[in-house]
Amino acid sequence: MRPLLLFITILFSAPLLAQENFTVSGTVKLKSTGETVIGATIRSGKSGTVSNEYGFYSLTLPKGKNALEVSSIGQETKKVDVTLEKNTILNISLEDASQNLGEVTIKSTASGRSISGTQMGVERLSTAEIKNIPVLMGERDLMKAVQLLPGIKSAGDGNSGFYVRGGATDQNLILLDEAPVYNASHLLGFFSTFNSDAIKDMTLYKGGMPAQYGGRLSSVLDIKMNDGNNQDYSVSGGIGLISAKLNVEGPIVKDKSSFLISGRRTYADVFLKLSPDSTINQNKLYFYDLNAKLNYTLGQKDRLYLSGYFGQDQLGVGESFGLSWGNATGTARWNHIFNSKMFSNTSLIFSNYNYKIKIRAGANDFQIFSQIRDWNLKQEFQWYANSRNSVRFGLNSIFHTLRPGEITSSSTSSVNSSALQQRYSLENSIFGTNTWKASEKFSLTYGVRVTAFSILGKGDFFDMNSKGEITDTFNYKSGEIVKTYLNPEPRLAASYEFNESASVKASYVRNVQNMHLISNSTSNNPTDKWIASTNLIKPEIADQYSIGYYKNLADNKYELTLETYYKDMQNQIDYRNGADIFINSDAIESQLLFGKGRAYGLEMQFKKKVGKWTGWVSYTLSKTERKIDGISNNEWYNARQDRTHDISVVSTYQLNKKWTLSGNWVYYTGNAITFPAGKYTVNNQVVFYYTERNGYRMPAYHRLDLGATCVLKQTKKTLSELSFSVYNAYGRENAYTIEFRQSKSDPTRTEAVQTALFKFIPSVSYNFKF
Amino acid sequence: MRNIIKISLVLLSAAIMQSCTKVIDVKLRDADKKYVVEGILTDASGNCRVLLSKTKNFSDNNEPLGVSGAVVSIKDKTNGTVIALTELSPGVYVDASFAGIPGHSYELSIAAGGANFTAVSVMPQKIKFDSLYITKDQLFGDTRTLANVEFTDPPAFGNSYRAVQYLNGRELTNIFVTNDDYTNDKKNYAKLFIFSDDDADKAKPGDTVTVDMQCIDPVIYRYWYSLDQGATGNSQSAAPANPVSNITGGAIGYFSAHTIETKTVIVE
Repeated sequence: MRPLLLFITILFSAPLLAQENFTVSGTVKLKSTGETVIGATIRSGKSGTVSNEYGFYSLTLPKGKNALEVSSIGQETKKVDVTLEKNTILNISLEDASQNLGEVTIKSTASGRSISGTQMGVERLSTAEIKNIPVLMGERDLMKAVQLLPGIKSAGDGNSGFYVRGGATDQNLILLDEAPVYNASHLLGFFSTFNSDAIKDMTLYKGGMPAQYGGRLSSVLDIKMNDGNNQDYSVSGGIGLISAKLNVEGPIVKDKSSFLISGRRTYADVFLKLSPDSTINQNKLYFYDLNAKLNYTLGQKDRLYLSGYFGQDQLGVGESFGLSWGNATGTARWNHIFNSKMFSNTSLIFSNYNYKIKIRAGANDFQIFSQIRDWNLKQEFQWYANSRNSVRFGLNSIFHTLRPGEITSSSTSSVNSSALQQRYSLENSIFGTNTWKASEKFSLTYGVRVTAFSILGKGDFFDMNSKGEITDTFNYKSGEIVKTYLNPEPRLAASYEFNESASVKASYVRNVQNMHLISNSTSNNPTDKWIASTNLIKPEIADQYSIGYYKNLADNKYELTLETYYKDMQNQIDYRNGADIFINSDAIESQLLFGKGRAYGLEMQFKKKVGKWTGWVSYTLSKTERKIDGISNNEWYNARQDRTHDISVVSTYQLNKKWTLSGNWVYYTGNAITFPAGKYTVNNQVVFYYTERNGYRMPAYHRLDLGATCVLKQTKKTLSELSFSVYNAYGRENAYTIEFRQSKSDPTRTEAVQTALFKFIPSVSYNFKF
Repeated sequence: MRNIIKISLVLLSAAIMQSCTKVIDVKLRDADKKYVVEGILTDASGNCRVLLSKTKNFSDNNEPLGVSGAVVSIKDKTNGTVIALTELSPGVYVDASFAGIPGHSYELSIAAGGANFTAVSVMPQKIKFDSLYITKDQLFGDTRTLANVEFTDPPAFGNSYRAVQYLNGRELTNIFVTNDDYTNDKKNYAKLFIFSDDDADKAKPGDTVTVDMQCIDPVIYRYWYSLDQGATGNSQSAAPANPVSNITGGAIGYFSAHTIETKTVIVE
């Protein structure tokens, strides 16, 4: 108890000695649309703060006259004088920078990181920033853009999954307006579920995760939707080769409330219908998604938000096979400002992912259904205690329901109707963290998140031997607690600013993950299985240590970032050799093996932020290994996502008012992969003999994409433009798979065959706004 | 059911992806050679044979490397009978008259080059092969002639099946196995998909299609399932691996005691 008291005394005593202070607080908004601005910097002399995820800021300053300077990416910096005689509310509107500039727009691109502040390992992108990055089929995609940043690796062509600092694709927490999205891909991974028209901001934490986030090991991808223009009606949209989208927003009551609806649908299947071949024109292949948001300002202190996402993919082969999957999320939020120092947000969140397979083959006629559903309550307080301390604390409670698989079949079908047991769990967390500005130069963030994961009945749980055979079965009744895993997750971060343009930061975080995705395939499938921790599947735990150096050069025109990390992972999950992924049993653990992992690496980025020509070069050197009992003689082996080198070059050049040119080039070492060590004959067929897991590498991957955007017409409110892009401009055949088979030309031999997916894909799209 | 899902995903990816393939040169490291056992005992005489070979390097030719001079025997653990197999040609050990009895447990023993391998397999009860017929199905934009197998699964769980298809007497190498996990106590209809785009593997009017239906030990079901998933060289599996074997002593392969029933149909 005594250390705690001492701690509290130190924490809050220092500022009390200072002169009389008052607090200025309010919301930062865009003048044109009324959208709140996330991460705007508010400075006065040496004091400063940034607006939070709802645009709220609070800054404690000395009594008397203070000059505030408010800045944000893409906006005019605004200077406001404020005389503080008491705590004051000051809402700030920022004007769009580009409208006031001359011939050529001089943009400043966002810097994810800032020199000051303890947060490290963070990347921020806005929709405006990725606007010119050339993409596959012209479909702007934040998820693809983020993979061009250091430490974040694409899972490959035709895969929207990504690896962060050696983590697997399921170890990323993807939040859309706080709601977890369990499958963030469309069309088997070619596109992400996020319609960039509806997105305001995306922040990715690859290290030093703040205590308010938890539940996944590797990263947090926090995506915020636009609130909707509360000043004026606006319609924008785009038509591309494979998709069209439309976004409508406007005020319900000007300055007080607004709505936004944004929809997107692909029409690749329209082309299929043109085919004269009846086996092709009956195929279905499309997705659509819908984002909607409403918000109401109820006086000075309260604001309500309702937001939702609904997306669905439909794939079908004639009459015989159909696969549909989709996410639905809903978030209701209430912001309340208690006083100039205390901000509160309460969220009630719903999240659902399901897939359905329909099969009709002769007399066989059945459906398979699987679902994961969360109800989630979050309460968070942000207390701007004084000029040196800002505190966040709160709680989060999630109720997970998993329906692993249910079959409904007709009476003629040879398949029986059956259902695997539903799994229930309750994930409760509390967190508290304080950022302490110890001196001008030194800041410290310390906090903890405590997670209690309770597995609930009803259901059967098992004991197993080392071969995965069931040795005992325990039956639990509805509501009975099977097991509770209690895990404290310390979060520490420190920064030291050498001067205004250079700093060093260090952090330590522990993350715990209780929802696991098991996949046995080289690409992510919509039918991959989410499972919760059980008595046998322990929570995954990762400890990450990182250090970084940050430097702004040449009057902040350039930015250099160096970060290095070491990550230790426990209770990692892999499939047993020969596992049956469609096993009709509640004891999924019988197909799994457990072990540990480690990852370390160095990330560098050099960025040019200002001028006609902007862009960055990023480089990652890294190593990722696993050690699983029962695989590769229990030795360390390279994880599939282990890539030694990973380079991205991204650049945009503003030629003139009309034309913007862009290009990006990526290069990375091929994934680690298992190749045969020999062959033999069984069943009159040549098959392959394996000795080591992931002992080989795919060929190195590289690709150049080019883009050009032409502004056809632009006024203050309207815009129309054409975007051209070429994906894989020099037609590199990057290996998607390598297969081994009996040679077709010489059946006495075997050969390796490489398949590449995309070779030179041009596209054009038209975007408008009025 | 597993096959239907797998097949459907293959069809879908084919529909979406315009891809290009080419033969590439991959340098593979050679590994120590392993013994490979392929042991078969059926309820009909004339099928008892054990093939003993060794693994080869990837760059070698595909001719199996038969191992001569091994001592091979099969013991009926239920009644104690032991049959010694004789070497017919290098690496091929047979007994012309030995037939297994459903419900009996068999143990294969091999002594070769100072090593001893054993494997146990239980011959399941025989389940009737109800019918074999041909249907025309759409596959990859053309019409394929496919064989269909019907049988009725008994009330108890735990039955596994394998079908081996012959076109004009030539064995096709597709692995087709199923079990009653999802289809217990039901009339089963199984379509034997052939993905090969080789014209020689496509049945034409007038061709003879023959199918052996085997009732196999669940252990052997796992062998074929995992072989098909992980060792045939296709890369859909993230982690190719040797199939789950019932051979002990360090060899790879399998020993299967199964029943067999054959039907033949002429394609119209």
